[in-house]
Amino acid sequence: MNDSSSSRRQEYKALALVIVVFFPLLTIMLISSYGFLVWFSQLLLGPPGHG
Amino acid sequence: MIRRLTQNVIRPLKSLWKTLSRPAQYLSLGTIAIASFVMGIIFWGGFNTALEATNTEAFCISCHSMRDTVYPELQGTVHWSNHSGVRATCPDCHVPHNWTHKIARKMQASKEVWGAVFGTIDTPEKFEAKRLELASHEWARLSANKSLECKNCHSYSSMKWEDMSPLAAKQMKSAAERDQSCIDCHKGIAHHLPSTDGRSHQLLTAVNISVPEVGKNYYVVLQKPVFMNATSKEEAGMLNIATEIAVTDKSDGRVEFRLEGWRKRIGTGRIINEDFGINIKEAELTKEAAQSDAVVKVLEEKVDDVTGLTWQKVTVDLLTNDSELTDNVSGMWEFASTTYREACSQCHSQPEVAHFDANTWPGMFNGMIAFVNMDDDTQNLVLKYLQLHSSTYAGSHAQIDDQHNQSAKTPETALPVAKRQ
Ligand code: HEC
Ligand code: HEC
Ligand code: HEC
Ligand code: HEC
Ligand code: HEC
Repeated sequence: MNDSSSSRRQEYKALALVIVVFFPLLTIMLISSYGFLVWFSQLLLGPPGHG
Repeated sequence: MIRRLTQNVIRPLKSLWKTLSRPAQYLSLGTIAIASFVMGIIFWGGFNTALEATNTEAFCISCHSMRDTVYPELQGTVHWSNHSGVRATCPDCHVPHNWTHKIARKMQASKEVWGAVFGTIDTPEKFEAKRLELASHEWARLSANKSLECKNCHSYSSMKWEDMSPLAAKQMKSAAERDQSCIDCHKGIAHHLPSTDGRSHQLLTAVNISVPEVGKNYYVVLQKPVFMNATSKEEAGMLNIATEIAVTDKSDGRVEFRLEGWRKRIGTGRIINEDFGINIKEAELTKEAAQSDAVVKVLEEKVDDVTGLTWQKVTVDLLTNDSELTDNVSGMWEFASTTYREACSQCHSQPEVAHFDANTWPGMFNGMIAFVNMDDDTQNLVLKYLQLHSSTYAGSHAQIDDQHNQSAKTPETALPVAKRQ
């Protein structure tokens, strides 16, 4: 039982870590790199037109 | 060292991976789904709140690079306070609304963070030096997107042409047909324009500076202080640009001169004008000089029927430095004409000079001066040029060139009549 409760805690901890820390961080990094990518493309292709 | 690393980092990661890579034994799928869903909402809410927080004026001016420079300038404009009570904030004009472009702009702000850390624009001097560069980035952006940010508030299709001034209606209607970018014509609406210094230095190179001789007439190339005697350091007033003076004597570094002109017989009579009834400034004297009988001599008095004011024809005897005088004024008028054409045709076709009279031009000109960057000397020169070529003098171009020739001048006759039309 001891073993199962520790791996139960581990499962909670893993879930928390993933959805509270990893995914948000990853999403922000993804969005930022998308932003940078668009910015760099604007540097090459000129500022966005209208539309 | 490596042992510590293995113990504290690699091992927990490995065990985390082990937990994550096998099916959950204790957590139900429902728990995981709900927890992830709720976290997703919280994250997205938080993300957008944070994004919004960086899209407020308070955030922008939290940096002194922004607060001490462009912010106070905005406060003097119609976008800060107007009769509609609509306030345009920094992000309204500067941050794109489209999500992709907004994110790109936020990342671009890493340049601003860099700038704030290393102080690229942390003094007024540095800011002014960099202003043209920064402004041209914004112009390029607004030009490419056809001033999309302005159009979030303003729209050509909702403009009521009848309520606009004729000039606005004409220019804006044709702009609307082409869906032209607002910024083509409305630069510097929210902040001061970058200054392009050195016009007056160009002026100095456009004319030949003369060494003054006694008994000859000269024109003032740049505005100059005048003095009551040969040694006084105390200024007795200023000679306006392109004013003709007759040199009557010389002493080291200074010339004595006589100036002829007209002034209103009200107040202290400090402003000397070129002509009867017309506000073309020749000089502005201090009260002391203006009221000294040794300096100002009244030759005659006349009443201007339009205003009912009495004008005095006067001569003024003072001294000024012998530098920056020329005997050939035509280079200055050429310079003024070119400057007028270049500076005043950026937004609207340059108004016909003879469309206004000499007393209307100062108001018109001063209303426009915020739109262009001219130093003080150039401003005064261009204004004088406009006044001398206005409807008041239209049709008598020859008169402009030698209208300083006081003996040949007959201001009593045609001029005031033309002015009144
Ligand atoms: C971290 C401090 C800081 C904040 C916050 C800040 N700025 Fe700036 N901003 C700067 C600096 C520094 C520069 C000059 C960058 C450079 O030297 O290229 C600058 C430049 C600019 C420019 C010229 C951009 C260009 O393309 O060259 C604009 C427009 C601008 N800021 C608008 C804003 C707006 C709008 C906000 C609020 C959303 C804002 N700033 C918030 C520090 C800041
Ligand atoms: C947040 C909305 C908003 C944005 C964005 C905005 N404006 Fe305005 N603008 C106004 C309001 C409100 C007035 C004042 C109308 C009034 O009450 O007379 C105004 C007035 C003006 C005027 C008239 C100036 C005057 O002296 O009467 C001009 C020109 C103008 N805007 C140009 C622009 C340009 C160019 C942009 C884009 C860089 C822009 N505006 C962006 C709201 C906005
Ligand atoms: C071709 C040049 C041109 C373009 C492009 C242009 N304007 Fe104008 N606009 C003018 C001129 C010139 C005037 C001033 C005339 C006057 O008031 O006598 C003016 C006046 C205005 C006024 C004040 C109108 C009034 O008299 O009450 C507003 C507001 C304005 N413009 C907004 C805009 C906006 C917003 C855009 C872009 C959607 C724009 N303008 C594009 C030339 C232009
Ligand atoms: C009504 C629209 C409008 C508002 C509001 C506005 N700006 Fe601007 N800004 C412009 C335009 C247009 C330019 C391009 C230069 C020009 O024409 O003066 C500019 C230029 C700039 C520049 C480049 C330097 C310069 O002076 O040209 C900076 C920095 C800047 N703005 C920051 C700000 C900040 C910070 C605020 C808020 C306090 C703000 N702006 C509010 C329209 C606006
Ligand atoms: C940045 C653009 C811009 C520049 C540069 C500019 N103007 Fe204007 N002009 C305007 C706008 C906008 C108006 C409308 C004024 C308003 O209602 O606020 C206008 C209106 C005028 C009018 C009024 C016309 C009428 O019939 O009422 C005169 C005259 C004028 N400008 C002369 C000049 C002169 C002279 C210069 C050069 C010193 C100049 N302009 C430079 C934008 C500009």
